[in-house]
Amino acid sequence: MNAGAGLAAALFAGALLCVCCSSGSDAAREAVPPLKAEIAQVRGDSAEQWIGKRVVVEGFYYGETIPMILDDINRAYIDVLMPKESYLPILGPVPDHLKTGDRVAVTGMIDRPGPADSLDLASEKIVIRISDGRDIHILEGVME
Amino acid sequence: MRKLAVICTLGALGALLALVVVSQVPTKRMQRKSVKLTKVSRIAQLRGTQARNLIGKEVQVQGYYYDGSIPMILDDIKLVEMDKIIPESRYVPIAGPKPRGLKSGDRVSLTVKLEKPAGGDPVYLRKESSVLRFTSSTPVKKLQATRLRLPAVQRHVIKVIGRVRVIPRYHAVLIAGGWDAANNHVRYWNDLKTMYAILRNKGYAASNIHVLYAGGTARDASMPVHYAATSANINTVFNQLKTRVKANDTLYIMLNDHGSSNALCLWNHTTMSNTGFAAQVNKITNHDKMIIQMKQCYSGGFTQPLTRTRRSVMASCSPSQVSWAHSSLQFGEFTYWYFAALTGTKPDGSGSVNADANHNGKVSITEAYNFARAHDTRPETPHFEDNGASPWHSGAMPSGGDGVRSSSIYLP
Repeated sequence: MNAGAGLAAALFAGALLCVCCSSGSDAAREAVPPLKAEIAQVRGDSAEQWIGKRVVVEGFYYGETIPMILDDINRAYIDVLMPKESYLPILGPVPDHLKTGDRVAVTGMIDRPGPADSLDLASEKIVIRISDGRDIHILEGVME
Repeated sequence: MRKLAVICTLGALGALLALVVVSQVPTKRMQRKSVKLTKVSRIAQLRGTQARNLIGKEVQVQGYYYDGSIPMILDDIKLVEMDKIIPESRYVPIAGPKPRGLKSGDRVSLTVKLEKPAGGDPVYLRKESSVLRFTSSTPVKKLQATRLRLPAVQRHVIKVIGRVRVIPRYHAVLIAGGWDAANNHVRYWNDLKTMYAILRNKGYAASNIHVLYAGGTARDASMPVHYAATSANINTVFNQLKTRVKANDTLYIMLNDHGSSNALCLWNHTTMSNTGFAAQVNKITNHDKMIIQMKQCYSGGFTQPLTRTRRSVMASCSPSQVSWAHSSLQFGEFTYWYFAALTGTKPDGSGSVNADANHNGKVSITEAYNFARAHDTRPETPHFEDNGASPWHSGAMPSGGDGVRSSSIYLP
């Protein structure tokens, strides 16, 4: 009986610890504001120094190929290859309501795609990794 | 006596036990069968999240058999007569051997297992949420024979050469490289699959259409992809065609996606030069008509190397211009209007058009080009060449000797 009560107490304490840690990390995340960055900075020659940093990047959402933000939505309308400094692929759960052309701010971690990520990203060196849909904020919706 | 009573009792118990077991077996089998078979009233129930509880189960479904792109069951056969994208909820692909004795348009009732695509299935099935898993013994009941028109190929004029009757054949090569996932706009897939559907409706046999797209994987079930769009695979296809295309045959070539100055972008950050591509096309010497339609940036730079007699060559822009998407981003601008001209319907279903300028009931290649050029609103200058001699011409055809020959060329 005593052993059972001890086990229950331990489980309760563990759960409490998890909740505290979780809310603590959320709080920490909110307490440290993300660095503001340009697409060209995080995808350019100095991309390596951005890896692991939490940033907010603004651009135009483009979801017709892989989810990404573009520095200029007009790039999507011409059949010219997009320079690597002009777009930033998004890794993570993109909200369904986003439309191509929406001007957005994306908050996430600059990272390299890993072996567990989509093969579509195999040729990309830098992505922004988001944890949920709330990391993408629409600044200006595309006109229908 | 007591011993006999014990034996009798044991025997009776054994018989009773056997009776119970025997009576249980068929009941269980019957229960298993009745529980596993699910009658489905709408194909949508077999697709996406709705299908979650039916995966792995036997289902009974009715619909129309269609084998114009990949084998599938549709809820409405009219869907394949339009060049619109078939919604996932309206069709379910068939995996495994094709059902025998069925024609596209036959209304059927099937009892078959619903599964997710497996590793051994063709690549074009891998993005499907579910497939009907056929085996050679899958029961298929034909409810109504097809009402579709006979394929156009059976209406083709049969040429009589000497005493030998020759049926012209129609071949096609559709290419969109895409470069990489980020640059592979969905419009390149949509352009290719729309052209594929048009060619199929015009009577091109599926086995005579070669599709080279991106990394070799189809985006959906509307069109099979035979090869990745690489230089090696383009070489393979034209090597096959140089023996398959005969003197009375027509070859249709479509180039799509990105282009750089004097080069076509292919998959995985590779290109093929205009002269390199012309060398591939020049392997086909024994043909009747050849129609080459190019969409990519700077596609005008391909015209001069491709200029030869019996060829109709059109480009959506000049050698120094970029090419553009339609405002919807779902098609190329030039191709959107070109498809509309050939089918009489805008590719997004937003209305009908009439490109038959001479009112002869058919839209020629020249008429389709003229219609697309006139409706193209982007800063690109389409141009045309079909008299086998440079220079090419822009503006309405005929012009400067170009556009005359193609005014009597149809698809077919």
